[in-house]
Amino acid sequence: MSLISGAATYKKKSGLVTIYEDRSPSILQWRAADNEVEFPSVEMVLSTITQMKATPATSEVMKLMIITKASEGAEPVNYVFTFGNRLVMDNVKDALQQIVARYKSAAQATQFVNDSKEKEKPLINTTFLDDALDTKKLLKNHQLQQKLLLDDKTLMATFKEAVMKQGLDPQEFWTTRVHLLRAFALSNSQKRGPYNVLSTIKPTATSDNQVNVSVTREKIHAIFEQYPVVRKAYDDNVPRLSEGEFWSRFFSSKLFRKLRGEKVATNVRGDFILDKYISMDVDYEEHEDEQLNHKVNKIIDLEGNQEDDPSKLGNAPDMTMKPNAVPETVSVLRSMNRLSQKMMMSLEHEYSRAATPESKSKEAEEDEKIRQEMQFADLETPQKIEYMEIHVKQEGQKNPDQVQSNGQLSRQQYADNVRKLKRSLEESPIELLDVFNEKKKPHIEAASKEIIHLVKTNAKQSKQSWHIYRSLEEQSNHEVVDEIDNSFDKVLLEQLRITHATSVEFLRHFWLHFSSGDEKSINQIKSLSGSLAKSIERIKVVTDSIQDPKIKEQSAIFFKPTKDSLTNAILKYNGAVKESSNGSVL
Amino acid sequence: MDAITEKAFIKDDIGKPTTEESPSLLTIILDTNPTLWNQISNKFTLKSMIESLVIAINAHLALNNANQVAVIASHSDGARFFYPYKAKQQHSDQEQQERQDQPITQMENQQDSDGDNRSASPEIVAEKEKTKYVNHQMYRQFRLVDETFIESLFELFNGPIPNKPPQNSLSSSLTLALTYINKQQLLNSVLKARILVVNISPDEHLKYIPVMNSIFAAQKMKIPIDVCQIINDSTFLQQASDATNGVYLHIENLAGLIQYLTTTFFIDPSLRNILITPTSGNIDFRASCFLTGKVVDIGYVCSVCLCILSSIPKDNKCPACDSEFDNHVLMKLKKKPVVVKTKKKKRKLNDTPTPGVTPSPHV
Repeated sequence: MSLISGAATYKKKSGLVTIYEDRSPSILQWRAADNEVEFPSVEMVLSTITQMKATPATSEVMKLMIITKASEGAEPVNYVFTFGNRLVMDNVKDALQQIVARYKSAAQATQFVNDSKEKEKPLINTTFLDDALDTKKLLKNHQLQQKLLLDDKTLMATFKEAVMKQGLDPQEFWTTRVHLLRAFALSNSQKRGPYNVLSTIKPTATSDNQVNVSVTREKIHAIFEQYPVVRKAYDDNVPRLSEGEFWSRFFSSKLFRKLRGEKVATNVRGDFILDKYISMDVDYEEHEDEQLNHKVNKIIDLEGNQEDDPSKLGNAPDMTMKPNAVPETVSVLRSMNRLSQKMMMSLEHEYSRAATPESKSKEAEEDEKIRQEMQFADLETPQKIEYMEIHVKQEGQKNPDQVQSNGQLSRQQYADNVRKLKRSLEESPIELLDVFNEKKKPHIEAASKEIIHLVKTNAKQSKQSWHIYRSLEEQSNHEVVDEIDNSFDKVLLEQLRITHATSVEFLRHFWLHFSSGDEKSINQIKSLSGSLAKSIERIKVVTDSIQDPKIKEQSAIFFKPTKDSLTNAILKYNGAVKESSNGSVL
Repeated sequence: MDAITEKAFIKDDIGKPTTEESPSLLTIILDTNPTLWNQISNKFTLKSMIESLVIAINAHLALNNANQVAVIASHSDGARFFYPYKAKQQHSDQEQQERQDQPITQMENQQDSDGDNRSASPEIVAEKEKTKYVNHQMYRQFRLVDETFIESLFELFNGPIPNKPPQNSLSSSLTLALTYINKQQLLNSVLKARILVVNISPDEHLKYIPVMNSIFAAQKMKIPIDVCQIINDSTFLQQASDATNGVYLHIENLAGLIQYLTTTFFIDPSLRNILITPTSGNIDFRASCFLTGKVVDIGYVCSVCLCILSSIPKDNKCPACDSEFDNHVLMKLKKKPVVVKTKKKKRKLNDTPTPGVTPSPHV
């Protein structure tokens, strides 16, 4: 493939424009003929070209304007080249057009993939987990909060009521729910790890004896990641071969079979162009082996015994270690192992707590390892485990109540008590017939009634409680039954629930600030106490609006604890205000 | 086809004998605190309690020939067996036995009172041999148990008065019951057991940590603790029965006691998973304060030993494990809510916190 180039002047300096498509990334370079100029060469990455303009064929002037944009938000840069020859300019222009068109279609394809997967961008940076799950960062991550709200309807309802309608600070709202954000961020950022792509690609034969293979963009991307040799082959050949041709050749090649771990029979025709990469693959493999290989310990393992030596043990050495093992099989095994290792390595920094920004460099880790190897652990003085002993005292003697009610009894008093009790026992003989007689009958019947009543209520409760499920599975399969009977108006119930949730929300924030004892939260406490008063009003309004007297009474019972805690909080607040205003007078 | 049906028959035959013989051990712990029984004598007497218990015991024995009973007294000076009790032995041996049956903590008491015991006992023994509390004609299985039970009860009240101040021994009784059950279950692996606690002591008298430990032990051994609570309601024992799948009832209708004893407290452990138990539904899960013994709504927890406190101790040390509390945290906890801006900021910060403490939100 010859390079496309032509003479052109740039900023009135003559030079040579060349398109280097074999470089990565492929570039267009203009090199001045005279090295003395202040800008001896101009380079642009071809993938950044957004627009091209050329003077029409009828015009005398032959100018080509190329506009590039390094990234989405970057300022566009204009390059204007003036050519002396129409043919040269057209040649360059056509080549560029072709290339740009290819990039655009590729970009569109990836765009399409992204769109179909709906916002590929993770909500948090999973590479630095500890950092990403930091409370402050979570509180600032509005996108995450939005998504959580969309996901959790009840939370959304509370949010709407408390934050949007009642004006609670959203930051406030989230500070008490950092754990929810954290959990949501984690569960949402889970993604599928790498897998052996080639094994999932299965050529299928169509009715007209054509071999059909369908691959998606992602799969191609994964193939490039996992098999650098394919990327090399692609980079080398693709502008020349069409993309479709490349892949159809690839899937019928020996290279494909080899990479997949199949045995390559000699009589398979394969592909002339791609099969030469098999030998190149060996180089890649060697390179990878070097990267992946764990170095042999520098010091003999003193704890090792003969069982660790595979050659002495009765078991024959593993087939991969035999010098005359079937080379194809061994190479397949090795390449599979290599692939697995590579996939594991690529995940090393995902979700790992070790991957904090200040983690050690590779060399430092290696040094550490060697140092550990060289240490003679048994020569060191054993580390003594230090711990605190806790002596738990029994509360018995120091129990003030006990002292009052029991301890004050003198020995004589106690003896009197015993005598008195004994006398009462000896007064009359023990008569078992006394236990059940006509006089006791009504009591016994009452007891029986009470027991039956208890069983009934417990039976009703156990229908809803988790107690009756024998296993966790049973529990999770079971839908949560609404405790409220169906006759209760659904809309009203929803309203009541929201009112309750909002009140609780305000209570929570009130106590948080109230008990903090922080001077800074005075204003917040004040406004929250106002919200608490309003919450009581809201409950009143809601319950008063109920027409049905029975339901009205029921709702009043439901709301009693909420109301009590609201009143209590307000009382506490007023008390504190009173006290501190008195204090300031003094 | 034939082969399949045959197998089914064989299986059935094997299954039958085991279901027929499933002995059950009922262990009753009776609170015999004399002071408390005297206090409530206008409402309920120990005698009627014993009468009802004897009937319940007999009923339990009547259910199955292999059923067993044990009765333990939780007395003011320790726990002891009422039944089984080797009353037929010589007196000196008897005393020896009594001592062995008692947990170590009570040994001291016994030694202290040994002197008194010897001088007083010969007459009692003579008297006891004559006394027959139970009718001769009673079914022998019942009579043996009932006689020993009542006899030991009288003996307990005839015994010497201990020198040490009286205290509740429910924890010792539970430990005694559990060890006895363990022993019996080792002898007979199919034996099911349950504990029935008849309690009149208020929560403040119970030793929180030892009783809690006994509850956990019972939970592990899968032994339900039923609680028959008389006079005062007890939140602590509610938790005991809830944790062990037992039944808790605070009985107010004391004249109908026998009905409760023979129904509510009569559920065999093997049936607990099937039946809905008539336990009282609302369980109070609050813990009691280590210092005051009172039930705590909102309080403080020692981060070292998890001891629960209703107020910050004056010496800033955990009363249970002596760990010193972090001064910084204490200051934070003792901080009073600031609701009005003070002009002199410094004054407020340096103010020594007053003992009236705002409850912290963590329980």
